[in-house]
Amino acid sequence: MAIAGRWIISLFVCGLCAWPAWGHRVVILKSEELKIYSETIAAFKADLKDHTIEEILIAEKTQPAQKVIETLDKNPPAAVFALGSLALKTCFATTNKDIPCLYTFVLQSGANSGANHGHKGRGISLEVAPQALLQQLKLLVPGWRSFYAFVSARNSQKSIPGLEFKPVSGTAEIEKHLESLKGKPDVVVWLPPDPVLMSMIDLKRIIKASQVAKIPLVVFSEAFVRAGGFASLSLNYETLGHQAAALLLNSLDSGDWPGLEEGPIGTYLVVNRKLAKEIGVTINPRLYQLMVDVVVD
Amino acid sequence: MRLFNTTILVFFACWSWTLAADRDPLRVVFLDPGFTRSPLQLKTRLDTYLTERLKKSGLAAPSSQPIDQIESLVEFVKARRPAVIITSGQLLKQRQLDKGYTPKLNLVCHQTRDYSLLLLAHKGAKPGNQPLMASSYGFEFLRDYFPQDTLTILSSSRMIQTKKDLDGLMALVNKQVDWAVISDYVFALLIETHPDFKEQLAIHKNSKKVSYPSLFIKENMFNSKDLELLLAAFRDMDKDPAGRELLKLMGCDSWQ
Repeated sequence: MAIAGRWIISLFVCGLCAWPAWGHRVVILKSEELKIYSETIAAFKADLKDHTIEEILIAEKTQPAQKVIETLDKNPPAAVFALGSLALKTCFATTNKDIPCLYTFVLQSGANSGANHGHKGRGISLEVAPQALLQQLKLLVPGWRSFYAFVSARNSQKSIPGLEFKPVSGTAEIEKHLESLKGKPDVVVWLPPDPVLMSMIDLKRIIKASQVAKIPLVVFSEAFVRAGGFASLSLNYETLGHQAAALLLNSLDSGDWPGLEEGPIGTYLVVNRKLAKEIGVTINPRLYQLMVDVVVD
Repeated sequence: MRLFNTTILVFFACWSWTLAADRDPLRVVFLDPGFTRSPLQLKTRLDTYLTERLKKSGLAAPSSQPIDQIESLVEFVKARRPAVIITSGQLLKQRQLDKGYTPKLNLVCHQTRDYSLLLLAHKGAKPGNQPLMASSYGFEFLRDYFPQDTLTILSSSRMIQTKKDLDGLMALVNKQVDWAVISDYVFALLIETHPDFKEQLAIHKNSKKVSYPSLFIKENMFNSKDLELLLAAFRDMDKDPAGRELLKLMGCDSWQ
């Protein structure tokens, strides 16, 4: 009787020890070993600390995609968190269609998600939605009224209320537009992360033209703000990890994988305060504290 | 005789242990969980700033330890009794940790000493079965400051921790989350210029007042000269660029 009692207690204790492993088993699949993934992964893991997390790096020599597909098919996890295009394609290539794929860090992911091969999934876009950008810019300077975005002619993005997309073919055309807007105090120009446009233009010349015309030029990275752009709004990689964890857990609990891509919640706003003073843009000092992550002076 | 010797030895061991504890060179500075949003950056900058400020004085610079969870802070303060604690006085009192510590300076943030948190929802949307909540404050913090009848909402929502109140507000406006928690002064400032937010969003609940952090010094830790040096380092923070960057990380204007 006493031995049986001990057995029961031992089993109970073992059960308690195994408690953390009772959660879901989630695989983080990385296309590459990139520094920008680390903040997202750290936040994701912190929110899934009661679950079993495995990290797999796809590496041509040691862990090629085909081998990863076999590993996932052999021991299917509850879900895969795929970072990057290769990781997403690998997840979608598994034979086991019950493995859902949550993805991010995928450029032009719309094209990828179309080829999901019957897998369940959802994603978080890398781009801050134009609507969100517009909202934040209007909060920063309530007096701004007209917003233009320059894109390549092949860009399919359509204008939204308050933001007009202007297809352009090169630097000279943008310079001309900026000159025509000279002196208008309520105008802002945005250069979205359009790879085709970026390959066609000379950013230094455009930055110079915007400064001459005194038109705030919103770019897409801190480096370009430091190079003379007015501001940039990009995503916050840590918040991206928290968002991914929340969406994944909700989908695992409900079994609902909407197959859609959402915009990122966390943002990272950089403002060139020195330039703001030079071109006569007034920003409430308290907004620098509340909204702006990096101030360039 | 042997017993007497042992007693003396034990006494000296305890005495030196006590002294060592009191003169612990690791004078840990804690930060309020409410505003510790970039803990690593804050630690690096605060350590560098204090080392730089105190290097000529001969006073060893405290090494900082930002903590973003109330429970972890409580455990650490109980176990380690650090030399300096930076946190809300209200929190220290509530958790009976204030004994042996003297408040010295207050952090002045945006000309406001106290603030409340607002639990906001979108007027037109009904929270789903698996609600999402965006907040720059952790669950533990919210649980301490919101009334009991809010706990169901807090515990049933999946939390997305953001770096800024604004991100939560934007996520709510764009219907990416069902709930958002933001500070009342942020909301007031934003609706000043964007009254449409007030029309779209409903304040579901106000939290208790959150005090801005104060700097508490462990009694008998420093002599009067060292104490003044340490306090001056904080008081002068708004007078040099590195200090101002640090204050910005804390979301505040100055120490007074």
